[in-house]
Amino acid sequence: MSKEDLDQTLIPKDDEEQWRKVLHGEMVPAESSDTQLDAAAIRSYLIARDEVQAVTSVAEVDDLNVISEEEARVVYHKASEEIRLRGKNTWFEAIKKYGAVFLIGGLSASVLFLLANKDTNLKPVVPTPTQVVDEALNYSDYQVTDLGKFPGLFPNMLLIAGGNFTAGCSKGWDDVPGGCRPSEFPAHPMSIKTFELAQHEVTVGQFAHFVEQTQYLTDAEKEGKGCVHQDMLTEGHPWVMNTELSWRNPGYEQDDHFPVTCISWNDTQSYIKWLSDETKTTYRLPTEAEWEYAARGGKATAYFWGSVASNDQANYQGVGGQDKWEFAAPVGSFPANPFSVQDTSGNLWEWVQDCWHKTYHNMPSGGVAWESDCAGSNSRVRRGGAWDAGAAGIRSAIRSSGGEFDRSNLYGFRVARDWQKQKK
Amino acid sequence: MLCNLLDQKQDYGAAILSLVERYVNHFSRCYCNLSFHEKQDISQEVAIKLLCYGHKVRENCSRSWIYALVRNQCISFVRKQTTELSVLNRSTEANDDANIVGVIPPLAEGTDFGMINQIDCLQKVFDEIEIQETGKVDIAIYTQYAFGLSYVEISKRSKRTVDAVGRRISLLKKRLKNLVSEHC
Repeated sequence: MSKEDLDQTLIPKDDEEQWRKVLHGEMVPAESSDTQLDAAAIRSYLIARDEVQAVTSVAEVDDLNVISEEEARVVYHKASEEIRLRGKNTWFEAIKKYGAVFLIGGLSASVLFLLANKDTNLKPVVPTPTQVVDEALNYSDYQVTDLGKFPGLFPNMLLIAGGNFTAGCSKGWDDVPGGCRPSEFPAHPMSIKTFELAQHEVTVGQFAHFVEQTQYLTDAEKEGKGCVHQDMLTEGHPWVMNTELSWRNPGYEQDDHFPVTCISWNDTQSYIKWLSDETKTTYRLPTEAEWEYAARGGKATAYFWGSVASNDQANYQGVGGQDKWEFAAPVGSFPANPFSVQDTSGNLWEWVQDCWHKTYHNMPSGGVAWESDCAGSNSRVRRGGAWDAGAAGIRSAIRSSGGEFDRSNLYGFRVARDWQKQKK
Repeated sequence: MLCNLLDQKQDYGAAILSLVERYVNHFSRCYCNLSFHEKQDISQEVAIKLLCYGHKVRENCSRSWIYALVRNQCISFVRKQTTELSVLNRSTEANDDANIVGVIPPLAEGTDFGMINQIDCLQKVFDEIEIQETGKVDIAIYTQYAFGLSYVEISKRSKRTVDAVGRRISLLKKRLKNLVSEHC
């Protein structure tokens, strides 16, 4: 029995209207009205139910997309900066509005105004990937090949000082050019030991030297099936195998300074074994984490040069600026990143050691190659995008997969080595 | 969670910002279909409000408060774009705090009285509605109405006519009464 019933007061005629208003949040329920309290309870319930759904029923991509500590610091920095700027605008608005008073009041008024608007604890924090520099590193052992110059018969190795960085797609950074692929999540902290990485992709000339020495036949040659390319003569321009294509003839003109392509992951292993024997040093493919660390060059942005793709910085879809090549470009044609590494962005996809996993969940730490739980797929990771890719396809975080025997005129590789502290 | 963001310690606010992002994605998916950049803008605005107003609730910041913050930001954002003003929008503009934190009666408020005095009961009733043919859409309409959206606004987002939305809301009370007597 309601309070109205007990008090023998009239029940309002617009009971229905009030129920609707309370449900809509337009009025606070009267404690004396069961109807209104019911509406308030329903409103609370609907909102609470929606909140629970927001947390529990999440799209797969959102579930993977957890903001990292580094991103949180960036968000804090951006928000703090925006608050500061808005605070500045408020200050100017106040001068305009109260100009006369401000002049009369003089300094004392402005001091009071500033004190009243003072916001504390809003110190911007800029994320900087940590780079631990070891005193034992001797960079003089490593020579960087200048822009536009080419390496010799063996890859030119660079010293990459170890450090920490955030691998994968960081919201607000890597997704700026148009989003990340689901496989790039979650962003995760990664620690990399010092290692050595080739400045360039392995060139046609370097690979030819290997073949001359070993009479090696690549998978494209020995299987007689050729290499995958985009058939521009067929409607829809499908990617198909072309028996006439191999590293010697990838479907476009090349010379010894171009990055070798139509190379399978399996072929890379043969080259690396020969190179190791030839130089009495153990080479290998970079791990995926090492590759991304080196490609980022200490930057958190989508590309090592910033957040906007540029034909002056990399060879990708179309031509323009420094990018004069419709297909692959000679190695070393584009500026190096802060680690002096070149051509990680675009030109050719680069094979890395890791087998393919759909996401970074459960990835081992320490920058080692992730070769467990491959689910027998025989797929390996390739990184960096190629000459055919759009802007989003050459980001430092971009990754894709390929079978161990797959070859295409988009695939190439570069080599890495462990760094030995005692090395002279 | 909030203190970590405000003080920039431990996870630097990663957990609370992940929650914000989750809510923004939810509202985008269920109610307002936001673009990537719009979602970014909303997240940024929420982050600004967390920094500006967070100190008021730093010790008792609840999930529902953050949810209300995001929800109101999404609604404000969509309204700014469509330049629509519902009755509720005008009324809340006069109350900045309400606009910022939302007006959400605590759940416990509804448990003390009335015919629908059990959360379990409401759960059963709305679960029953949800499994009906148009149940999910109906609940979405009711929820948006509870958010304070007008019939016109709900109509645009649910792709129903304004009359149809009004009818669904009007029928809700009767429908609930029947379901409560049946399930509770």
